[in-house]
Amino acid sequence: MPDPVAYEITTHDTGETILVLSGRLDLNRFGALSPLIKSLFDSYKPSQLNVDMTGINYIDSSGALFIVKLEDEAMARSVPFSIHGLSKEKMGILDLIDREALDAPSLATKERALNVVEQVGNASISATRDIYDIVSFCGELVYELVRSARHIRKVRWGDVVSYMKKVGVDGLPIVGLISFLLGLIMAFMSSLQLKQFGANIYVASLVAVAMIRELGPIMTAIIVAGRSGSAFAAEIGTMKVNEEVDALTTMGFSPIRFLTIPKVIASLLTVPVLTIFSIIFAIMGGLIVGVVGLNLTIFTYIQQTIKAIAIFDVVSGIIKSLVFAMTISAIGCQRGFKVRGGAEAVGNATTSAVVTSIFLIIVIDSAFAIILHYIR
Amino acid sequence: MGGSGCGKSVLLKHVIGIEHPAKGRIWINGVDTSLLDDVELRDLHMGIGMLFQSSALFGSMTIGENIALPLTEFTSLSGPDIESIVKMKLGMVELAGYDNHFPSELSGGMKKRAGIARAMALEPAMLFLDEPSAGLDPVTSAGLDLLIGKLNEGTGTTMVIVTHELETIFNIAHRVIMLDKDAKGIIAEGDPRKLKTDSDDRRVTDFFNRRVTDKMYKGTGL
Repeated sequence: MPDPVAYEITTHDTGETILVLSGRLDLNRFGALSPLIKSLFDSYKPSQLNVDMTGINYIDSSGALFIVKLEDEAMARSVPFSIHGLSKEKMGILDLIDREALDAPSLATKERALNVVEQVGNASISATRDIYDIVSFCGELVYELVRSARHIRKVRWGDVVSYMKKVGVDGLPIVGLISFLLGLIMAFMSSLQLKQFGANIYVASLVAVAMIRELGPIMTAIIVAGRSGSAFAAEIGTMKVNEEVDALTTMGFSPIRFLTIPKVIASLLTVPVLTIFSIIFAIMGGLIVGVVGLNLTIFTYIQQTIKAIAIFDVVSGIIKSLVFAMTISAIGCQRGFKVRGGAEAVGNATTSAVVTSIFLIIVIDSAFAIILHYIR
Repeated sequence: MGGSGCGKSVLLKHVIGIEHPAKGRIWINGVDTSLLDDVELRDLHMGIGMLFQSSALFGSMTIGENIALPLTEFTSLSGPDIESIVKMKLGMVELAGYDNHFPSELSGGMKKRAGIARAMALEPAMLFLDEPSAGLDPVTSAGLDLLIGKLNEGTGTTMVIVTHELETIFNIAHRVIMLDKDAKGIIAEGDPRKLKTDSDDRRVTDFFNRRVTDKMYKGTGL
């Protein structure tokens, strides 16, 4: 609660007005005092204004600003102005106020809002640039991957193992839990329909085929994009902000080889394994529904599951997960390298890495669906 | 003041309440900060201004918005009043007209000035500055020293400056406290000019006279 404003205004017949201020003249009082600047002149119409500050025991720069603004207003209205009773030490703060700065125009004007056409144009240019950046980054990445394959010893295997732990081992609990619940839900929902036709046993086939062909690779990829793709973007983005990436370049390292290749290799090795785990956990979820809700035996359920699994589906699922792994790690790193500025840019890169990865996962999955349809 | 790694910045972070001491107590204006709850600590922080080594301006906000932020959050001032105060603060640190610039558009010295303006937005009774002249050229650094001295004299704000820049120490310090890594504490206290000439402690005179130890000369041929 700000202190009450202690001021008193007296006027003489001559038109001389005295403003007596007392107590603290500080930031807490500025808000209450600032309307006085105009109202004092409008209400009292002084021919001369004297400010008595004898009772002031503390003044800060906001208090000084009030006095300066009062004086400026008096000058603008050609009213003689004087201050009394402020000690020499306290007067020093008035000298700190740069009067010209109070009316100084901004040296940079705020950007005007763009109209719809300009916004569409900007978005198109930025989308085109984005596609160009991704394609050129992928080109560099493939070049570096080929180089790494030819000079296998130069790959930073210590980093690869560390990222394998982060992407794979640390990601396994959440991938396992979500897949288990997904299998449970799928089996439960499908059982409600299949029960009516006495086709309970096909719940096992449905869960296995859906997980192996589509949901296993896609769910794993989405979880990895959210966990690890974002982490790659944030890590490289922060390194960009701290000029660590520039340091690598000046030391003669290729930032892509140094930072991206270990992440890509780790993802390529772990995402297919995570996908297999995801399928196993989902089948376990379905198994629980089958045994508890549909009176199937464990043996029957597993036998039906094995019957439903085709080697072609398993291989295509693994290939899909390899492509997803490559996409997630490449997009995560590319978004990190694009960071310019500070903390906000790192946040944007992280969000963009996840959104772009998920979008591309869906697009690639659609392409796979069409291609596999004709191959099968 | 003190050499690199002696704990100057760590001590400062403890004083302003960002870090909590494992042992010992911190008293500010007669108040033991370890006994304060979160609300009381927040009130204490509002009476303290801090300039960080990197200036720590929010990159997504303009300089004007950076300075206005504590005023909009912790006071009931109107928009025009906040704008007047922001312009006044920018004038005080000689950055008039830079209210719509973003931190990334300013030089290192300007960022420090803007950081000081933000730290002083709520008119704190105490201002802490962590290595204000770090990373600045000698002229900019001397200009910043002058500005700090002028603000100290004009506002009467108590200023605690962490630095190892001898020039800054002699330009603005009324009293110095010297920390030492090996002693793990204070080894000297007083007027920097007197300490430079009169101190009996070799570590203190070595620091003030930029003397390196004999071990450092080894192998240099000097």
